[in-house]
Amino acid sequence: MMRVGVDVGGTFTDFVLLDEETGKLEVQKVSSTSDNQMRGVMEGIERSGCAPREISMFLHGTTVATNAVIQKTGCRTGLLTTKGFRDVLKIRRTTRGKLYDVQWDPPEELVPRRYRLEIDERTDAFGRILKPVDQDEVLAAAEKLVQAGMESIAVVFINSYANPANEAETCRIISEAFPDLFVVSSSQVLREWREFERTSTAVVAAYVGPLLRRYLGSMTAELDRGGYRGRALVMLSNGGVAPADQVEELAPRSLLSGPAAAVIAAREIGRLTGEENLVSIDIGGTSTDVAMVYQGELLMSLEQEIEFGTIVHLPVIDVSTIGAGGGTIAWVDRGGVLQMGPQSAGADPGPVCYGKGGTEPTLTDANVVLGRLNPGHLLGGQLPIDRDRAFKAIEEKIAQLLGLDTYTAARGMVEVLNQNIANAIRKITVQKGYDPREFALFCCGGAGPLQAAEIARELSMKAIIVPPNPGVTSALGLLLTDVRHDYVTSYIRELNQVKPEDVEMAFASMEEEGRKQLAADGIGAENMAFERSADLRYLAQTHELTVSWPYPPEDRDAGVTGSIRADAWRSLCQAFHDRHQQEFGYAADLGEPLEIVNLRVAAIGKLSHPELVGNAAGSEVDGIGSQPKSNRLVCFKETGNDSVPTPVYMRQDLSAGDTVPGPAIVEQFDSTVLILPGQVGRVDAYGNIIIGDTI
Amino acid sequence: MAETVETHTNGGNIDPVTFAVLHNSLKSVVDEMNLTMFRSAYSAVITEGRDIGGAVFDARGRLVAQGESDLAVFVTMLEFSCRAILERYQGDIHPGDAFILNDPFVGGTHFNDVGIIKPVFWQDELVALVAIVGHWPDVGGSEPGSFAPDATEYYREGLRIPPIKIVRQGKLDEGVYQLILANVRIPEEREGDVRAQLGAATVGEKRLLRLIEKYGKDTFVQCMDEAISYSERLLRQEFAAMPDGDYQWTEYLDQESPANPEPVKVHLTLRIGGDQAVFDFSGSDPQTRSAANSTYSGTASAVFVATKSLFPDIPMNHGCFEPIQFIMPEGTVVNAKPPAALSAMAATVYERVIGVAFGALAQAVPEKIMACPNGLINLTIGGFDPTANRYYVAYLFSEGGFGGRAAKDGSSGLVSLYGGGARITPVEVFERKYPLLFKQWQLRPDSGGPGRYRGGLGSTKTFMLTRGEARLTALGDRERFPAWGLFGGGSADKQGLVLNYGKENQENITLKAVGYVIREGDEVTVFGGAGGGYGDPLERDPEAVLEDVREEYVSIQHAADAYGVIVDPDTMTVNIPATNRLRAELQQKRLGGGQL
Repeated sequence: MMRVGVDVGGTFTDFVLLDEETGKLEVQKVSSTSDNQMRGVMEGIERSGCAPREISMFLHGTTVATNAVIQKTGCRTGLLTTKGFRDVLKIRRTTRGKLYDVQWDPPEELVPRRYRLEIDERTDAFGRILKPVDQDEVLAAAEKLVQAGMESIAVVFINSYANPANEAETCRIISEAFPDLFVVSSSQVLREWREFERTSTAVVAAYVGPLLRRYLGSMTAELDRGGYRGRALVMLSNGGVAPADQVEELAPRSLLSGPAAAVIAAREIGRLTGEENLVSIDIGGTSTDVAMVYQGELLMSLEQEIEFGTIVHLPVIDVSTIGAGGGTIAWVDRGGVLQMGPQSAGADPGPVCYGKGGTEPTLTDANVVLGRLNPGHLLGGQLPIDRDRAFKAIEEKIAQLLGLDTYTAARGMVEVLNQNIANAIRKITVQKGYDPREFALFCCGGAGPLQAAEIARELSMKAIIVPPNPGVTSALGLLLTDVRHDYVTSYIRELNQVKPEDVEMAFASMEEEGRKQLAADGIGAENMAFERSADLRYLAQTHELTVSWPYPPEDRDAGVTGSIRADAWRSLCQAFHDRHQQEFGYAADLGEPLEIVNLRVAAIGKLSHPELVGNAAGSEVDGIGSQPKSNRLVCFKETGNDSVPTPVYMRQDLSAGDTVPGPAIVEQFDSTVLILPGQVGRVDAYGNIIIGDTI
Repeated sequence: MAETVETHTNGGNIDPVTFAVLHNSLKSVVDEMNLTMFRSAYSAVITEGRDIGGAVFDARGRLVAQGESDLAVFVTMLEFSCRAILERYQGDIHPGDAFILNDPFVGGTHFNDVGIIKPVFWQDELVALVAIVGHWPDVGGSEPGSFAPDATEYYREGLRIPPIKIVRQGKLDEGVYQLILANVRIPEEREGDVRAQLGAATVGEKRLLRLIEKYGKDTFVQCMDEAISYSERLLRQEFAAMPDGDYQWTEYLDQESPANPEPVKVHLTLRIGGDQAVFDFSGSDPQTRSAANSTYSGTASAVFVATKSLFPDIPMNHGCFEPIQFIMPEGTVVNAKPPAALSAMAATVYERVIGVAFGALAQAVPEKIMACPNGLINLTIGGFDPTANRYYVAYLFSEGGFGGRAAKDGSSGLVSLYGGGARITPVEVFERKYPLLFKQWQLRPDSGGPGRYRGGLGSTKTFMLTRGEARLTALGDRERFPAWGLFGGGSADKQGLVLNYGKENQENITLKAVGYVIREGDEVTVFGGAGGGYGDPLERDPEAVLEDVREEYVSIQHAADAYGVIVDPDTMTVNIPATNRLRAELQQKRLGGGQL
């Protein structure tokens, strides 16, 4: 039987197939079909020669939801709010996207004002219902939205985090009257205070829900027709997976599907290579995702901003995205300064050197000119490259304006872009008190291995890890995930006024919910695990930090949870102070009063993971096992911008134990690895190239 | 485009690639300082509201870089503070020192905005300064929250802190620290804010030193110089492209003081000549006997913000100040002298200065400008919550509509231009922490100034006091003189503050309310500001008016009255013949009116 991970990206749909008997991995790439992602998925499965009935588990990363939000192609969505609050979605938190610009406008909200209707109901901040919902009023509003062609409705009432009864009753009334409508309440997706964040999250869920239901529904139907017996699983932004039929849960949680899977792969490969602290960079055609693994743990964030003012406030792997990729366009601003992006030539027309009509010089063009990318062809010969055209574009549009020679201009383009990525890495490391020198740089995406060497050197990082197939890292990550459901309850109380039994009850009820959900997912009790955490802050602060919540040690083993003892309280406080010190560089006295804001439970259903096996063919003894295929002139900063003859290796010729001294280029189907002068690459037992400094 | 690009040869010795790299890094240093600050400070105004600003200055105190979310008002004024420190402490600035200040007469805004400035030394040579300002919810004075709009002198507004060392060569000056804490309400929270600010400044210092280590001091200094001359070149190009001449504009504040209801004039003559501009405020009224005053640095800051907002691609730094000169007669409302009170500066004179700058610039660059934006309304509600058994001060910030533009309507629901990354506090946070229950917070139909391009809408907020008694103080204006339109565009709806609106005991308590006592069950309604319209409303596309009616931004009645567009309420379509007739009629009436 085969386990299959499929990740749909902007340009390619990537497949990693694992033969469960032999442990052998196979990869496959087909062009993405943007009109209907499913065609590419089915085509790739067919091309791999693996019939759906031979698939034991199908795991999927999709951009359907993300694209719908960014391109505004989601379904027609209505919003019901508390009377007086229909404009929360519009007013947002009132921030502007540009500091000084009278011409700037925020993006249109996902639900126009005319489809945001008000219900005369109210709950106060402590959960008391001041005014219950009136069935006739709700029905009339829903009727009006259905008449106007809405496919989904989000219901968001003020203070529903404190008591969701009015929202639940409203949803019940609507669903009874309109069973086909996709209805979602804010407390169902996020039981946490702050009305804008909850509104935005619920609206995103309603906006993409019906779309995902159609997409995943027809995909699973197709798989079922082919004889697939399992349940299709979809990658979530939190690093876990959930069954494809649970669309209500998936809708707001699948927006970082692909990037999250890549970080999972980074963590696993890091574990195998003994690197517990990693920064991962995934550089594609238009953007770079930056994330961090610390001591083997994923760093989570409580919120994701999909575009300006559209927020999903749910736990996600902390991935920051910047506009830097192979297609990023270089330009000289009117003050004479070199800029990279954020505009991108994308895949179409693409860089100038593709000869598909691109006229603006891109990062890829610079890399071709500098000899870093193959000046004749890419993708194993499938994509011819026109170096002269790239050279001319950089000469005319960059070098002449800056008064530089073309090579220096191309080097400058690469350097400015690398610096932008390095600054993004600084923001997630240095700024949060982590020292990048203690981290290895895991690079993936087509362009990652080409830029990583200089970025790592800039930040003095300890090593670079280039996985065997950098271009399909997300698809690989899909095979390494667990099922995960996150729950949150706002519980706002000063720590010394907390009743342990209340907290215990809140945790237990979330765990019960998780247990039921995992059982419904087909997870056996022995594979269930629960992680408790709480958002705490100093009493007077308004920004929280999440720390794990201790179980009483003796109860944990017994699987029974009791009340929290004094030493557990102390360790909780200590953990908070330590995190505060780490993130912000100071902590208050231990006596400073703390406040709890939210209680969280992560319910995890452990899946069996493939063992990534070492390459038996290679040896652990160092030595140059492979000869370069050719030499070409490559320009480096280290050689004073001179082009020097540089050996070019083929990745498939390298085996475990081989070393590749820099300067060197390693080419493979969908990626090119750059090793600088003074660096050396070494192939490990798993086929990763580990690059470090020779000194 | 290519022809207008200047080659990068006059920038000295720094190569263009190093410059681009280092310049971006300077901006990211400030972002790091800010992140540290708003995630670790105690004040909700800072952490939820993000009412902060950070920047990097060179050794001469010239602004070099700011981050992505800093309040423009702080950034532009801090340069005055840095220069004051360099002057006053010449020869007495040492590695490890940090200064604290909030003095509006040397670059502060109002007393609530407290700055920390830290010199950065490289091998005993002063190479730069880093600064970070945050809004403290209270700095003492007569009213909780320190806003005293009726103050005739600043002594009622709390503690004035001239530039003073709070850290001496790495050691906190306990005396200064305790003096400050002894003069503010809820001092334990302010301790958290000071710690966060000092932490953020240290982060900035460390990162600058790492950059210097890497690129060398000389390259670093050249980069700062080049950043400044780069912005200066760009702004000079813009002024040079404007037609030379004098452009006038006048704005009014609602009143001089509670004792004197006469409006206060802010007058500007903008003189464009060659590649520079003179902002001449001669003709403005004398300083007031209320908190509605501005200082030299405040007025300069407002001009910088207004000008810079038309040219978003020019990096904000000292270079943007170089081509601009000022004439600001002393003792006027735009250049007040001690002991003038100043706590209402932002919501009053600062905004009028932005207004006159926009009004004058509109005549020079009509395609780049917007009509007048909404005015700020700050409310503090202070009282004792009998259920929670504690004192509280709630601080309600405002958002509003922006003005219409040459090709677009104004935006709604945004923080002011000079407010940078500031955010409102969620209703659910207010209701949980304070005895308040909100009845509404929504856009007000028909509030946007009519125009060919409509002004953005203001909001209406209503909250009820649910327990006990509280004192309400407002900072706000534009009750008599709402945000104006341009080129035939109409004014926005007026701002205001009303108690128990629509009830028998309705009372207009106005945006000048000070310590007004409200009781359990009282409802306070804030009529927030909207933006003015741009161009003749009778020329607005009837389909755009219809769209506004559908979105309930404009009522059917207002569509007819202000735009001359007849919308059929049953079919929700424009009645074109009736519209044409009405528009012709309104046109005629205007001409008739002109003859009278």
